[in-house]
Amino acid sequence: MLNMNNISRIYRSDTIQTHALRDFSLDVKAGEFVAVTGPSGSGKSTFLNVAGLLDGFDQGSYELDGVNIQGLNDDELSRLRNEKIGFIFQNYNLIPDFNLFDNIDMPLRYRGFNAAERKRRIANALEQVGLASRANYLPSQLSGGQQQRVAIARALAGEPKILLADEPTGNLDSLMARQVMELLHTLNEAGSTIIMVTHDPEQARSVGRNVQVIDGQITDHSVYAPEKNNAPIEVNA
Amino acid sequence: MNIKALLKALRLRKFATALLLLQLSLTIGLMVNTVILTASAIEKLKRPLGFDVEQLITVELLPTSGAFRDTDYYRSIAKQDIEKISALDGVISVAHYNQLPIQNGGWNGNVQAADLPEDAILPRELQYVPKFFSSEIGLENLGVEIIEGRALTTLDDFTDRFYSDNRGSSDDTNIILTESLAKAVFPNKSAIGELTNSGRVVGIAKDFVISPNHTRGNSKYFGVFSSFMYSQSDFIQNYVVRVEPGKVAQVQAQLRDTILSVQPERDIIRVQSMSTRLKKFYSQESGLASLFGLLSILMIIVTVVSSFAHAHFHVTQQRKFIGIRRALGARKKDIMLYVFSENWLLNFGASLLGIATMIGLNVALSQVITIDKPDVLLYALAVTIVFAAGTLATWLPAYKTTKISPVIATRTL
Amino acid sequence: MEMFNYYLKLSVRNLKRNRLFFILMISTLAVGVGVFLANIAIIKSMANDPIPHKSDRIFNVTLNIWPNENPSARLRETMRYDDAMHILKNEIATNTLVHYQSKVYTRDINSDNLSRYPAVVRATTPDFFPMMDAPFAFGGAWTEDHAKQVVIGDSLNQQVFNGGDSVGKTIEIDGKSFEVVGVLKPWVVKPMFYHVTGTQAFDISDDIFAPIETAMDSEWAINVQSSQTEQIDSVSDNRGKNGFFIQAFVQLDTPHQKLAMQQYLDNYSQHRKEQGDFLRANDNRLLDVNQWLEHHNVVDERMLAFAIATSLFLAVCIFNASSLLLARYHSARFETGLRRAIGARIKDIFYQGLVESMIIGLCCAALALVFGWLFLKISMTLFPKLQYTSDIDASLIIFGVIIALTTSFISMIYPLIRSCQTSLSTTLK
Repeated sequence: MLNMNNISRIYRSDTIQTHALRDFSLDVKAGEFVAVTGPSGSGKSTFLNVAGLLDGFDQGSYELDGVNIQGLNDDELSRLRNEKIGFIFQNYNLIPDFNLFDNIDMPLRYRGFNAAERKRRIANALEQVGLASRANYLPSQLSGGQQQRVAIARALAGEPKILLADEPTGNLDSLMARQVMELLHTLNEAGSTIIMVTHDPEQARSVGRNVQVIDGQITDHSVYAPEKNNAPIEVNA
Repeated sequence: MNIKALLKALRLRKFATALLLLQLSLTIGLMVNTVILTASAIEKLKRPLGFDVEQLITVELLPTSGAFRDTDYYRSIAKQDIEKISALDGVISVAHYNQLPIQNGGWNGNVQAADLPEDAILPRELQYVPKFFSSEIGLENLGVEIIEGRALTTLDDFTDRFYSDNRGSSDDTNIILTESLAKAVFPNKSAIGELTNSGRVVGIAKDFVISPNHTRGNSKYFGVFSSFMYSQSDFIQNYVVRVEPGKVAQVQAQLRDTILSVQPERDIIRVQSMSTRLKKFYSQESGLASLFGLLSILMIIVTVVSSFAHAHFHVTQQRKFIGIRRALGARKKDIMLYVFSENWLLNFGASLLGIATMIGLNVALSQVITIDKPDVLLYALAVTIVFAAGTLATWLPAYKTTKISPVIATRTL
Repeated sequence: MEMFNYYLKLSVRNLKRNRLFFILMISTLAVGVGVFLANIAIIKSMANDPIPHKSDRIFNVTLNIWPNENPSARLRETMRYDDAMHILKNEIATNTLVHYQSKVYTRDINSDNLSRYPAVVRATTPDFFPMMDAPFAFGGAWTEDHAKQVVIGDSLNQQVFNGGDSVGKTIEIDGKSFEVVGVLKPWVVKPMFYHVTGTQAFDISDDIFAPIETAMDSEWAINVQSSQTEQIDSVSDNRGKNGFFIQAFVQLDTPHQKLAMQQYLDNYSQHRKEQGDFLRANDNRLLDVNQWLEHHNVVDERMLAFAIATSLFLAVCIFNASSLLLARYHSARFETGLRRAIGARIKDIFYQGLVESMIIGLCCAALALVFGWLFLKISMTLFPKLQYTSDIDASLIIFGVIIALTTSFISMIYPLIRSCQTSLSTTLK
């Protein structure tokens, strides 16, 4: 589904070169739920930006759902983002003065669906996250957990191949965080591929596969079964 | 105050900054040129004319009936007009004129010494000298003194001679020249007693402005006066009424009816005070100055909007940093000063650029109209106004920064 | 189309949400466009081609003949009666007219009302009508040179006869009667190119057209800047004397005709020289309508000066709008980034901006027309001379809308490009 091979991403300023990612390789199969952990500044975010086609890379190759990303222009990247990826952000990134319907509607518009199709998908997505009755609410009228579910619904509405979640529970209290995680698990069981960046070790342990990034490189590919109770290896960069 | 930090902050928004700089400097340039135009229009209106503008009313009329083609009839009506007007309360004197001072064009002819050789080429300003026909009190009525020789008398009036077919030659006509004209025609001697192609000079009148737009030498003062009632009914006939100070409006209101009560078959084209005539004469100049003034005001308003917006968006963008500064111990005053000093720095840059736009605009304008050169004082004035307007516009956004709580620093977005 | 509607909806939402901001921006832009438009309106009507379909075929005739020796003097743009009569005799031009302007007072001879109306007279020759394409409502031109007949304009016909077919009626001027043989339809020539001398190119229209011989016989005053080098006792006394007051125009449809006409004039002035006149250094001149108008500076240079200022002002307004928009897009870059993240192409964002600039442009256009009209009125109060010059017509309204759309697009373009270039990965954090 997602195949990164020896990806390098270098940020240059006048005097300093920073290797945000170096020889980064990762292969995610369809239906996997992968947690990416790592200390601050390790390159998690860069990885997510590259994976989500928000940012380019300097070396290596990246194939998403069978499409080689190399050399695609901005229009093609936009199209891929729209069709294949669903984003879930830490701070939800909902547009405050759009109601839920219009927020979810946004990606569908760019997809070019007709009104009936958009309506069906929005209703479906809201149903999936349990907010079907609140389509006309504004984000500010919802709790943080509910807002994040709206963001998930927005990601789902386009029926993407892969969900990219960036600290999806980072701004939530533990109860709401649990609800959101349950929702993600349900989606995963229903067949969605999910990559989630987190720095909550417990959350990381709860998913099928765990990847740790340190200094822009993957250092650990351990797979945690939910019943195992090993503590993750902590490495301080 | 850290100028370097300010410059850096401005460089980050170089496009917006450049736009504002351009805008401010254009405003300065336009304002300076506006003031130049306004000042020269006012100066023209204020310039002393050398006759009693404030006390005079002018009347322009045309007969509408063929009866006036009889010159005797024409003159008898004109005399009755003058008598009737003279009888009005507040009127000092009335005279008829073939043309009025403060004019473009008009009734002109060449003036030269009678003994000037045939092949001598007359300077252009002496080829087009306004020739006035009025009564013997024509000059006195305007408030112009005779400074040499004598005034005209009833004996100098050649109207009867002219219309009784015994036309006579210019040798029999006595004339008065204005001082500048006398000097131009007879440069090396007194003109009194000399013979010109228009008649014999018996007096010299003090200079007064007749053709304000004549620029060659003193030609705006040139004029020849003789005593004659031109009685051609298809030419506009003029009366000038001299009134006691403060009576202009009162007399002006009665003139139309007074004249029509003598004989109604006349078209009173215009009754206006001499000062109105002067204002109208310069209406194009003052109109242009007003238009530029209006534009300058609009431009300052736009500048205020821009300065406001610039500061406002800067403050909104920097909310968090301002909060951090506050948390680190900056006083409200310091923050306000920070916002102001950015505006001042911009204004300083704009005032430098403004020199170029001011001169550029001045040069561009001078291609199409006459305009004076800008000077330092006007420039300083424009800079001060733009500076004040900018500071005023920045005040609200600057004040708003004081409302930013230092707590913001600890909050994530 | 669906996307267009979507963008329309988004733009309206944006405008509503940032109401104060857009009011400021749109009104400053509209003031700039309005002022500019008013200025263009004035210049446009001053620079108007009064007779576009034949302005390059109608020529003013100016002769270089002068009775005194004065080689460097300015060319006289009026000619003597005898010169005019000779020009009239040419068999080269398609049409030839000579004229002078007069002013008389007239009334319906049969009316009980004794008051007379002022009337501007064009004392001319019958070719005037076909050359100027003057439209007859009733009747036609006179045929006899000394006929006591006139053609009257529409407004005089309304004033004196209450309109209608007045052919055959009689007007009185100076106690003499003149038969009306033709009535024109409403007709204005702006600027009045056949009589641009002085300041009256815009503020008069002719009321009476009369045979030039009749006008002179009747001693109708010469209401033209004229010169004379000898004693002339009356208007009719000008025949055979050195009084310069007549203007001449010829219609020359081919270059061949023009060449022949030039030759005709040169022959004539040579002939006059032999008769004792002097020729000035200037050539005999044939200027076509637009050259003639330009020669007379019909476009007021003050308005050109003001045009420089209004263009600068427009630029300032664009700068202002642009920097405001830049700030706005800056604050909206979160939303733009989000749209990009969920798959909007740069094209989509740009398109959306375009729709927004179109809406801004339309609002601006509507407002600019109001401001423009207002400013035109103000200009007219400040410049009485403009009063008869300008009005806002359909083409100007279209021009105004185009200017407004263009300026709003220009102000939008850089901010929009900037917002499209925002790096995606940073805005969403």
